Amino acid sequence: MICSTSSSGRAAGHRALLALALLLPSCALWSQQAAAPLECGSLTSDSDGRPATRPTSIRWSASCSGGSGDLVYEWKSLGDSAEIIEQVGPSPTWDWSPIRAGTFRVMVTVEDSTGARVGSDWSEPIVILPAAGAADLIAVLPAENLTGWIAPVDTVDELLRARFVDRGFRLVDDATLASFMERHRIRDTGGVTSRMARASKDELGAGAVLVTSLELFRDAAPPRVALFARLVSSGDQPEIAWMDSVGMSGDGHLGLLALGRIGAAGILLEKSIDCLTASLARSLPELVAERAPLDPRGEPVECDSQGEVVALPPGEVGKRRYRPQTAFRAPLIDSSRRYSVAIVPFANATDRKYAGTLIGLHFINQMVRNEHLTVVEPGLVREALLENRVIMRAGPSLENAEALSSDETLGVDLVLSGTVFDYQDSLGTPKVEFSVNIIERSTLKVVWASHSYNTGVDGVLFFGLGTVHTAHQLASRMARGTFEVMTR
Amino acid sequence: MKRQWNPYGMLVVSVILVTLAGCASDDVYFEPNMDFGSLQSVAVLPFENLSSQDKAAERVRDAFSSMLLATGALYVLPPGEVARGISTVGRIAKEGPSVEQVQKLAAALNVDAIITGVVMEYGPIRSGATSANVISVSVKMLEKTNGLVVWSASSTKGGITVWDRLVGGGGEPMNDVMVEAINDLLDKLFG
Repeated sequence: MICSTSSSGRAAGHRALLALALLLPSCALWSQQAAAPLECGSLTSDSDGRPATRPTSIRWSASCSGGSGDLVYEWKSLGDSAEIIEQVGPSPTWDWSPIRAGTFRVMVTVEDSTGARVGSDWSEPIVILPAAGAADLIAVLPAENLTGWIAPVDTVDELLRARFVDRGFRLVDDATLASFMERHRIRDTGGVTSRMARASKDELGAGAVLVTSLELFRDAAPPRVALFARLVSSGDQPEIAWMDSVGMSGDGHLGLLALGRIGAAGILLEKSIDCLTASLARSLPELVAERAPLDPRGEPVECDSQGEVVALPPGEVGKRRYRPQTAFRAPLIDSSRRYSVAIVPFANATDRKYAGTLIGLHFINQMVRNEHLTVVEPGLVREALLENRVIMRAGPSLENAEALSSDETLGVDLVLSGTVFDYQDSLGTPKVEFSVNIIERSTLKVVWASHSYNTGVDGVLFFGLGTVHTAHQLASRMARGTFEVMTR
Repeated sequence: MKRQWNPYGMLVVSVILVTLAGCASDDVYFEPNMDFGSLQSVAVLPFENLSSQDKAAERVRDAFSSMLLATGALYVLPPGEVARGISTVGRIAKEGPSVEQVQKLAAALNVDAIITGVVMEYGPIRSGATSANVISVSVKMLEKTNGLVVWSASSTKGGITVWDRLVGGGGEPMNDVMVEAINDLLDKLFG
């Protein structure tokens, strides 16, 4: 009796389970049919479409409805040339802090738990104005001497100031700047620290600080000159608003019967400074006339022998000979994401003083133009190294990289460093050799390692055609080649 | 008719065979009991420089580290981290780390093996009017648990060829010769 009761109870349980099993898929089908289709309306922002001046934060909101389960929002921005995934997550809002000036559009793609995806339309274009503009007062710091020798730095300063005034820039006067530097005990003029950036905004009223580094000044034949310059915004968040560099040699463009030979370094210096000021003027949207017909963003430019900013000939970009001989890239790097990078001065294994700093500047100059990267101002990196008492003999250790990249210091995703083995720029054929390492913050792993070596006569077969005359030009091309492989 | 062996001929053949056997050399050593597949991370220590070129060891070590990392088979620690590890175990002798130092270093850096190396030749050599670049490198891998050598190899590349003697030209660029030698070493490690 007990057995029969138990058996009939089990049979009833089986029937119930069977009924449930039949009901569940139909419920699922019903719920799928019942879920409203996923759809997104137009995006809204708190900027109301007005131009915003960097640094700024704009809140974007998406109004999406329907779909089943949790929704994942993928926010994208479209700049002058690149489409970048900015934020992925469950939030229907995105606080956008644009890292560069330009005209941008924004869109969101939403995915529900069944994998259904729907995207909004691209927003109306929104103009982001640069942190430093042509109307801003500029503090021109005395040029940093990276030649390793005595060099006419005062002449560089005078020429720079004169050319800037000629182009209509407003500068902080010499006496005020000297007094400011004395008051704040500023000796290092190779970068802008956070304290200096704040003080120059508050005390000088300057919107930006110009940092110039004289790499080479050689008067003996053939004369050679090389310079870096960058404009760093002042205030609480100093950042590189513009950067360019020039390397010129007296025998760089000889032309017919060597009539193009330049015999004095002073002439080269003037041409170099002309070129840099023209490049800066082109980069500021207020001076549109100066930019025509070239677009300063996205298009690689360099100075020619006439001291004019020109677009690089297409053949110059991506020349295989300037790419690294050996390279490793970890799959951890996502080329569609945005990264912030701190470039630590390279270890110098050469006899050339400041070679490590110079290669670091070459990489900053290349990387600062890329829309996927935010490059930290070297002055801030130096400040962080000093504050954390970081002494590096052979590049940053993982501990150093962690300290530098933490949110309390620089808050960057990548720490780039390396070693320079050769930087021959004073006599004979230029030679440059360096290695690069990039450590990623979250994993503390090396995500990029490469070794590059080139000479100025690589690939030159006939009559010196294609010779690179300065180590500056060579290193610049090698840094570009490395960066191209890195981002490919 | 029974064939007669010439004793003098046999002697000559024997001498040649013995001589050739002496010439044969194998410049690679693998510890037979080592499971190389279990290695995931290595630290490449600064190489010793026995060449006349300043910084040759740094150059070769750096290129070797990059190329080893580029194989994707092993994770190579960045040089700064290796320098930090060395500072924790104290000074390492020119001849290489002791067993205790290898064990300490591997533990400090959390790696499976330590690689040391010696650059014996680096730079141009001259013979008469001809010159060419040459490199000679030897590398050892030391295992973390007992500090013993589990792999050792050497490579020599470049040098003056018949073509160089006839035509001149100075041989291959130093960097190409170095990359060739490192590729040879990596072939010996993974081959």
